[in-house]
Amino acid sequence: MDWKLTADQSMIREMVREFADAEIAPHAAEWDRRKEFPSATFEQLGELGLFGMVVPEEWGGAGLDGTAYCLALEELGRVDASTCVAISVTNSVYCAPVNKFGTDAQKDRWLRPCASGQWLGAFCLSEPDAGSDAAGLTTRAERRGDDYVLNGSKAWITSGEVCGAMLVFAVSGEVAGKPEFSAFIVPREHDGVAIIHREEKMGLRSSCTNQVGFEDCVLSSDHLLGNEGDGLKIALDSLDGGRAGIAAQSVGIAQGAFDVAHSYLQERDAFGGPIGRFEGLRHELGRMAAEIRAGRLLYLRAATLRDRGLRNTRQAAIAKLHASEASNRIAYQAVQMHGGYGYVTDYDVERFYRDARVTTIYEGTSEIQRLVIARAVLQSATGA
Amino acid sequence: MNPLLNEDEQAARAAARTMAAEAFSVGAATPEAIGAAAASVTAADGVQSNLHMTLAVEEIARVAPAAGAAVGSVAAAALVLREAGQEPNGLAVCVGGGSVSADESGVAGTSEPVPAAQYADRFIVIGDDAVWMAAGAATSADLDGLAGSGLARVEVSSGEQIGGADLAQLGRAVLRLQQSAVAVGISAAAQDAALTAIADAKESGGAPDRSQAVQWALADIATEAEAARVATWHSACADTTDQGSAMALVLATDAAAKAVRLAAKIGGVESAAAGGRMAELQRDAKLVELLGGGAAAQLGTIADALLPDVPRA
Ligand SMILES: Cc1cc2nc3c(=O)[nH]c(=O)nc-3n(C[C@H](O)[C@H](O)[C@H](O)COP(=O)(O)OP(=O)(O)OC[C@H]3O[C@@H](n4cnc5c(N)ncnc54)[C@H](O)[C@@H]3O)c2cc1C
Repeated sequence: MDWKLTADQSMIREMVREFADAEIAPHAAEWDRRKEFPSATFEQLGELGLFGMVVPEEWGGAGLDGTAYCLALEELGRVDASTCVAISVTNSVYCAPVNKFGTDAQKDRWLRPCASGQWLGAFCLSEPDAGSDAAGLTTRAERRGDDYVLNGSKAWITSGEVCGAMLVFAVSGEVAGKPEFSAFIVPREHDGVAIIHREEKMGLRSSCTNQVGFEDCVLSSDHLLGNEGDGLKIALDSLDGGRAGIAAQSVGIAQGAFDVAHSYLQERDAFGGPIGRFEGLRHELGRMAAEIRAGRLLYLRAATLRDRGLRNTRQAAIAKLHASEASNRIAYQAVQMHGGYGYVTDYDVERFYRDARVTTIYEGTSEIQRLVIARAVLQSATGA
Repeated sequence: MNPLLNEDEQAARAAARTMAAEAFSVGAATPEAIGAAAASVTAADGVQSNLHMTLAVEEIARVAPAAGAAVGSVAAAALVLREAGQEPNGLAVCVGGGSVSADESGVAGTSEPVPAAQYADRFIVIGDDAVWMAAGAATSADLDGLAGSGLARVEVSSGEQIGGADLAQLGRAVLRLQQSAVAVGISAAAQDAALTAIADAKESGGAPDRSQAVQWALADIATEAEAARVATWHSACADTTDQGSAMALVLATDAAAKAVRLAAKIGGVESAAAGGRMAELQRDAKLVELLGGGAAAQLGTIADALLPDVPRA
């Protein structure tokens, strides 16, 4: 067992840490206040190779492993979860599936520009009436000659209005009375694609979350990713990859909240000295640190399994469940340690608190992670 | 990075599982079995000693928590002795806490309860900055839980110093690690017991595995056990500081206490059957949570490392 990072992993973590501290941290609160998507910073992130981190260099990516990618997400989450989520979506649920299931022609057209930093990708699975229950999608892709025609709407789409292309999941037919799903690569500027609105959110306020509509959106068959009927497989595989990333993001948010609380305990005086001398707060700080460490180790294990081509469904679900729930507890506690100052926007800690909240919801809620984990435990008991 | 067990480590874990089932699945552990198991868990080709100890102790504790605690206690002492360049003769355990003082001037006092102390003939006293080999007299701790582990307080007197601050830190770390491994083993045992309860209920025509309350409890047991396990392994391989091992211990004992509570809920009222497996696991988890000063001591240790310039009030 070797917990040491490789040279590449350490290098990417250092690089992202430096960039995050210098270029993102000083502005994150202001972007959040103004709900402003920081386009110029994303151009820089694209130039640094952070849009297609796990995509091979031949397709414009950085050719890194999933572990390095998760380490980068943690560093971004530590300073700004909004920036982090757009990077996470473009990497793990746009670039990764297009790289894995796309043809060379598709990669040339829709992976290379994204992976090389020209534009962001988006992932359109959720709908207004179907989130956890992905099998309940109603967006349809009907065959018309050699083409497909998309109709329906997608909800909660991260980077919808700022992306270059999106991966869209739709019902393309029926097999044995059950809907069959397919995945399509759809450029944002394509005819029939409309950004319906932007959500007003509790947190992640500088990331764009959109409802996206498709009305008679005609796609030639070269937009189909994989084969007809592969949609669910592609979606689930993408989410397995994405969950370790959201765990890493959660650890980053928790670390950010921890860091400000750690400083505050040393700066704030009460009853004649720093509040960090009080045992109750010290113990809470200790517990926060232990939970952060566990979350980090769990996402590293889940990512390593995937890097080795091994299935990581259970480990990724465990990492996401643990890290996202812990980041909420930690951010809550960090606000508490700030007293009244934790409740006002002058301090970053309230942003961490709001941003942590969504981590138990997206890319599979905590309840869904529990179902995934329980199924794996029950299967292992029966030897299935 | 490879935070997964390699082939040698997997083999060591599998061997420990077999050994645990053969030596400890029936009846109380004997001092001979404890000594033999401890000797085998401190050495395996290609496997780092601390990691090997935690892998093996977890497997033994999963079968019999008391035996896991006893073997862990003896194995931890063997690792400290090896580090100090001493012969691992007889059966030694590490002691500390309680009223024990151990510094440059000598050792004296009565320790906190330690597993296997009743069977031991040598006592290694871990102080803040010094480690001593001491003579001592064990008195049964008479606590509820870990029955058959040889848990005893030890009154230590004269002795010889065998190491300084570095060895003391290592001693504290391996003690915490073996205790973490016992706690992780108890979480695994609780999961096994819950799965047995589910299988029994299915045989009687029930379908508890379709209940979300049951599924979520299983998921929480598995998640927290896994978090504690990786923290323990990481500390065993990469971070034997006070802080790292204290974090592992906090996570592991919290997880074990929660796991037995959730597993008992899955088992229903039968879980409270006197002398039953679930009731025994609950007592064991509680005791493992309290030994070594409990979570408060570990959290204090972590906080001291995090806030070196802010003394405790
Ligand atoms: C900021 C943000 C960004 C997002 N980005 C994207 C994106 O880029 N692409 C995308 O496709 N989606 C995205 N999502 C959507 C997100 O993945 C969904 O919100 C999530 O999967 C939950 O779906 P839902 O909102 O429809 O809730 P529902 O599925 O309606 O769930 C409601 C509640 O019921 C619980 N529940 C549901 N089913 C079960 C069950 N079987 N057992 C027990 N409890 C259950 C859920 O856990 C939840 O607590 C984003 C969401 C947010 C908030």
